[in-house]
Amino acid sequence: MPQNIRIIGWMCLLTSLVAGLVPAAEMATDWGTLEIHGFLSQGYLKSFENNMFAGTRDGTFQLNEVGLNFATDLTDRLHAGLQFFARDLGRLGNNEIELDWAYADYRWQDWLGLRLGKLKIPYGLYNETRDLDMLRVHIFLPQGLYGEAMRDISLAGQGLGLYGYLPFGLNYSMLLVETSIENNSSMAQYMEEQASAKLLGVEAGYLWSGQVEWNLPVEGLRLNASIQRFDLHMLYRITEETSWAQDWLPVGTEFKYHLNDMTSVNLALEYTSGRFLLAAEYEYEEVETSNDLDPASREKQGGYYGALAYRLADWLEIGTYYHVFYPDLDDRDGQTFGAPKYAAWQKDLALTFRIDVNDHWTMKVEGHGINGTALFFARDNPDGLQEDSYLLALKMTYNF
Amino acid sequence: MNTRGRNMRLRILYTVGLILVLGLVRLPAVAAEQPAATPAEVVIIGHPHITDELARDDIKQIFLGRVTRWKNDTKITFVLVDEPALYEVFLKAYVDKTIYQYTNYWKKQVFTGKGRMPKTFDTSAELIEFVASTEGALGFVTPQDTLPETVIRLTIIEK
Repeated sequence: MPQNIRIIGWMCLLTSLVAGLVPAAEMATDWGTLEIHGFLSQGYLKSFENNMFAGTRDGTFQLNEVGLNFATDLTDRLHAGLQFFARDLGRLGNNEIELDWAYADYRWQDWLGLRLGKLKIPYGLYNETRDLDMLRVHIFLPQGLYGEAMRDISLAGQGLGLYGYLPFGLNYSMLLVETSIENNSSMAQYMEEQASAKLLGVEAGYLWSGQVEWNLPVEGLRLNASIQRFDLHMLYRITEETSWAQDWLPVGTEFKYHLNDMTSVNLALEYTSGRFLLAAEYEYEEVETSNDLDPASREKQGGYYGALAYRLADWLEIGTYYHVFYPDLDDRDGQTFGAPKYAAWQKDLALTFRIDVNDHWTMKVEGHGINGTALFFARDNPDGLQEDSYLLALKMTYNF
Repeated sequence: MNTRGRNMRLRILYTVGLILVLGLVRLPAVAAEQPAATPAEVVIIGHPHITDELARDDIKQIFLGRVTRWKNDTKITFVLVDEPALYEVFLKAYVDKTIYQYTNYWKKQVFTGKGRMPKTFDTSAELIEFVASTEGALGFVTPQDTLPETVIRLTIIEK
């Protein structure tokens, strides 16, 4: 991590600790119609058996997020804003500052609004807010549905979106965006590991996404359905680590790999009643894969989770979820997946305690018991992956 | 799965189960602790030029930012007051959220760029003064608050 970023991060942390004593209204600066808000998170990870995202078996502080946004109403129908964001999760992010979102929002009518710019992609219950630790109970969302592997393609893109609020508790959102994937991104690293070849470049086509949400007449109950579709085209080079090609392709050979018509569907339910929250999501994903070497084939993956949370006191909330994910729905027990079989699934039981020190300051303690190694990064575990692993996560967040 | 791993999972499951049982036992007590808020404990006030009829669900949609314009196309400006007891009663009676849930809802809007935090006043007097001077504004006060002639008490109809 660059030293200047580390220094800035510690300054922000110290400032936030002091500012935690100051009410919110004094921290959010209102220059005329301009509002400024932000957040800062710092965490600690310690895992047992397998490393997750970083050298977590030895314990690591490489878990943090920083965000700062500016927003204003240009007219009573036109709203504009932007948010800068940086994060670090082991090898991922490394506190590189990026533009999280930046767009103009023209709300012509409540049933029809237009957004232009860099937009967050609405998908499932939590995609738009996955980086906002203070808005949920858990530190880590279920990785099969909100995994680091697909983050870069499904988080945000540049383009346009339509949205609106309709009668009977319905609201909708749809967008068409272009996304970009850097070679050092989490998705690029995951694809490189999957192919065991050097990734030279990634080209993402347009992504379109649609979401409909229904707030039912039953108080606190909402249903959510999302769909998204995109294409990806990768260029790889065979290396000495590409064991599957060593017998028939020389090192240095370049080949193209395509993910065509990658379509994901998510169905979600959330019920809140007083101090109680219940959430469940199911996701199904299908894609046609093709490359220079093999005939085209269709692959299917998917997963689901169920979560419960209960606010024991104004300052204390407890939550748990059980999550299951299969990277190949036609081989859920790993019979044809390859060795080891437990790479064919991930089953994760999580328990979280959330402590709200005040409206701005949150602390969390979370434990995971994980069976299966799907979605784990092999490069974090050069000695091989164990079937069972455990993760302890601690995190503190300040927002204003 | 090895024995150590199985024991760990069982310990986690037992702990989760115990906590859930304790929580369920506590639920009736918690429910009893929270008196049901009634609309009669809160008065919705607005700028004198507001003529729209409002039902309870209309109030909810307004304070969640889903409805932003009156029928005459004037912008709706809703405001809050930071008096916890009144605030909690209002949210319970009209929005079906706790203060924590409502704050989190608006934080989501702010941090995804979809909205701004609602304007909040420290006292009912400040809220009343703002509503009186702002076209299309509405807020909430207690039945005991004295209302000047520059604001109107909005009648909430049954739908």
